[in-house]
Amino acid sequence: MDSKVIQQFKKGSLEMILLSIIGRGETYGYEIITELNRSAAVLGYAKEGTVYPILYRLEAAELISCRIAPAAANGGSKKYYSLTEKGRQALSELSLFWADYCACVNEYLKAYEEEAK
Amino acid sequence: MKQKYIRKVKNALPRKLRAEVLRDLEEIFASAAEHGETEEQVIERLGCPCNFVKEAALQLGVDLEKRKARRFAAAGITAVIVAVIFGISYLRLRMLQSEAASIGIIGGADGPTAILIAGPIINLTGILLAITIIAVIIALLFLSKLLKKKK
Repeated sequence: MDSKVIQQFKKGSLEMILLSIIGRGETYGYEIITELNRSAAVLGYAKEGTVYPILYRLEAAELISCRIAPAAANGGSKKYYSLTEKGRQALSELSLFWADYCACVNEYLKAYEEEAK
Repeated sequence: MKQKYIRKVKNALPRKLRAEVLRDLEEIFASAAEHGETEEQVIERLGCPCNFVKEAALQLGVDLEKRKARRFAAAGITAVIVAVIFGISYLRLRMLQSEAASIGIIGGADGPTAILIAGPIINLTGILLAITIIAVIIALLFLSKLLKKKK
């Protein structure tokens, strides 16, 4: 169950998932990874190697913003991400598209299943 | 382990991404350590340094190939310039030397003095020639690689 197609799906939807997680409230890297890992059964274990590059792009596109604050717990600093207004807008557009997209794909799948009966 | 990983990423990263990505890596390792994870576990999740850099550059639309090509061209041009400068210096020195030699022959009494001066000059020409040859070889290597790439 880890075919190329499935990997592409995961990759494509990760951006939306990240925007949703960050949109719920300011959060930081490790928390995002932990949150993603709650869905590890479906998404597979989250990897910093995949998540961070996407965060860089979201930040460059100004969909998220970040601030760096000193963190006593890890002896360094933590970067806190939050959704920008532009990010909120992008997410609502994505979410509309996603609903249409799912409905569309489902229709094909349903048509196939009915034909196969 | 961690330092080695960070260093590898640093070397592969374009300068403008360096500060941010390196800070993030420090945080990634620190947060993981805070939760009792080992550096090996973190590196496993980060993937190999070159892939991490490639992925980050890809997402940010930074062209690593272009950067490589630019560096390559700069190194090639440097080799050519070094070859030309040292080549010319070498030829000039040889000319001066042969002039000195002919003067030496005319003024026979200057013989011993000429030999004393010739000592260090020969060394210098040798060094100049060596540098020139090395630079020419490097320049040729770059040229051949460049031609291979173009094909």
